[in-house]
Amino acid sequence: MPENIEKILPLPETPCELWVPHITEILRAEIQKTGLTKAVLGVSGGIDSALSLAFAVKALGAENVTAYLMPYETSNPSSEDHGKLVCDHFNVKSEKIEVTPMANAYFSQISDLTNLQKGNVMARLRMIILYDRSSQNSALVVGTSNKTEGLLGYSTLWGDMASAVNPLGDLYKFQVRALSKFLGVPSELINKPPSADLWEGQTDEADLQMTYDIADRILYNWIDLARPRSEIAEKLRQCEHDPALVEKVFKRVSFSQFKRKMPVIAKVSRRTINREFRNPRDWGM
Amino acid sequence: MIALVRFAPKLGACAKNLSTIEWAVKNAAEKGAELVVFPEMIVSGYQLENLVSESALLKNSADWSGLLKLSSHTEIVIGCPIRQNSNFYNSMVVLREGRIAHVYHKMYLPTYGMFDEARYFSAGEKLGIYDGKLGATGLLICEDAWHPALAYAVHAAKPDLILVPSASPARGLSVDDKHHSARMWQSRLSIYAESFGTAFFYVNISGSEDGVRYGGEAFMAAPGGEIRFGQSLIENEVQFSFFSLTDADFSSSATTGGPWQNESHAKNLDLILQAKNIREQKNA
Repeated sequence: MPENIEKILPLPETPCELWVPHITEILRAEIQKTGLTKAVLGVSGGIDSALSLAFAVKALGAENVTAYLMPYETSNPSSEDHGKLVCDHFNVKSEKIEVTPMANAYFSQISDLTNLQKGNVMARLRMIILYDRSSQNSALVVGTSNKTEGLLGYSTLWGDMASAVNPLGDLYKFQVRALSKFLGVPSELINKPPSADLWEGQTDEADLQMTYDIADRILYNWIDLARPRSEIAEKLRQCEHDPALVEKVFKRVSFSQFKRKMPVIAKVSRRTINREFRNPRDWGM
Repeated sequence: MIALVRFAPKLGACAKNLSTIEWAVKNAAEKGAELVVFPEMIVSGYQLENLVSESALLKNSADWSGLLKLSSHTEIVIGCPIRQNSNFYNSMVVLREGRIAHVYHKMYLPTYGMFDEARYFSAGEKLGIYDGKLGATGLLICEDAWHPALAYAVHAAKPDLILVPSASPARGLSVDDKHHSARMWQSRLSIYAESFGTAFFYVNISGSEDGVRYGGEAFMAAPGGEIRFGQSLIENEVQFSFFSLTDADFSSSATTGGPWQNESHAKNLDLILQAKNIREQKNA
């Protein structure tokens, strides 16, 4: 009889009552100390951007938050519906700016683009829109990437990873789910299979070739509890899950390390940016 | 009355923070505080990195003039980076009767995990004990209190009260769904207070620096180990907790009794020497 994974590699309860005011206060303080009072963010119709929206509303008030829906022509229409649903739910004004003409202007000049390349272009076009709108509105861009995808590198560098403040960056997917329920994100968004919606029928879990549940159990034990990977693999074996998933996760995390760092600087001076010249981001704020 | 006072300091903006501190001291003194204690690095903010050198104050700086005037009636204890010769220290400055009465430099500089203090600061070498307005006063800055040997050494110098100013980031989770960091401070100082029969006063900075949030907690661990929060007040985004001297109850421990009553400091020192000998024999 195989052991139950929930018993062998347990995930902790999410302390929503503690973390909601904690994260809200960080978001509020980090935005307001810049002298700004407003936020913009991209709302995809998925759970992550819905939770970021909920935090932004709590931190700044709905009147100070603008959500942007930025579909491409192949985006699932239900994504836009869910995006509108969550904006209405939190009483946030939303604007739709299609990335289709911008993206197609580029795609028409280049042949042989893979779906992945096209998806990255769309993610970066959305970044361009959000940063431009933030400038227009005297607002900051609130991030929507969670810790699971940040560690797995399942995100587009300078695309959806770009933001000024990210309330979700230290939250695994299971914690995003728990907090979303706690903050009343509509259940349609919580219960559907997560998808980057870069092409029809795409799902995160198919791309990653593992479930978020397994990825979170591996990452939480390895990163947060600092358990040896061999021990985690053995525990997976005990509950008849593929122990090779641990190495697969490890490879994804190590391969995507560059996405979590600023670009490499060729050092020549004695005081190089971020190496010897180390100042806090909140310098003077 | 003792006031524990905290707010969200602006990083590297010492003049601005000092003016908030002066306002807070006046306010606390008007409400009857004789001793006003602020957290670690309240003058400059905590995560300074390279800003340490430009934020650090000199002991004879003109920046102290406003607080020195206020200190003629009120003892003020504040945390800031101090420059002494070519060294920088993470320090507590005690202002009393119009002068700087004492400067204590933090001894244990956390340099692991999210902390990098030894990169920027030198470690102090002298115990933080001074004659304060309310009696002999001990000082432990944040990480100092994680070292029971140092906490014991301060206690062995016989202070009437011990101040623990801190800049402790809220993180982790305790069994009762509070931040582990905040719970730990209560349990640690409660055990010290109960073991040593001395009141400990803890005060943490508040606000957020580069996405790291500080809880702004303040409490007293009474000599019996009980945690008390005093009378709380928030004005102009500054938090005050007031403790009357009867709250602090310095002398009651003598009547209620406790493990410290049988304590022999000479014996304790001998035990430490025995441990040292055993270690040296093992290493030989």
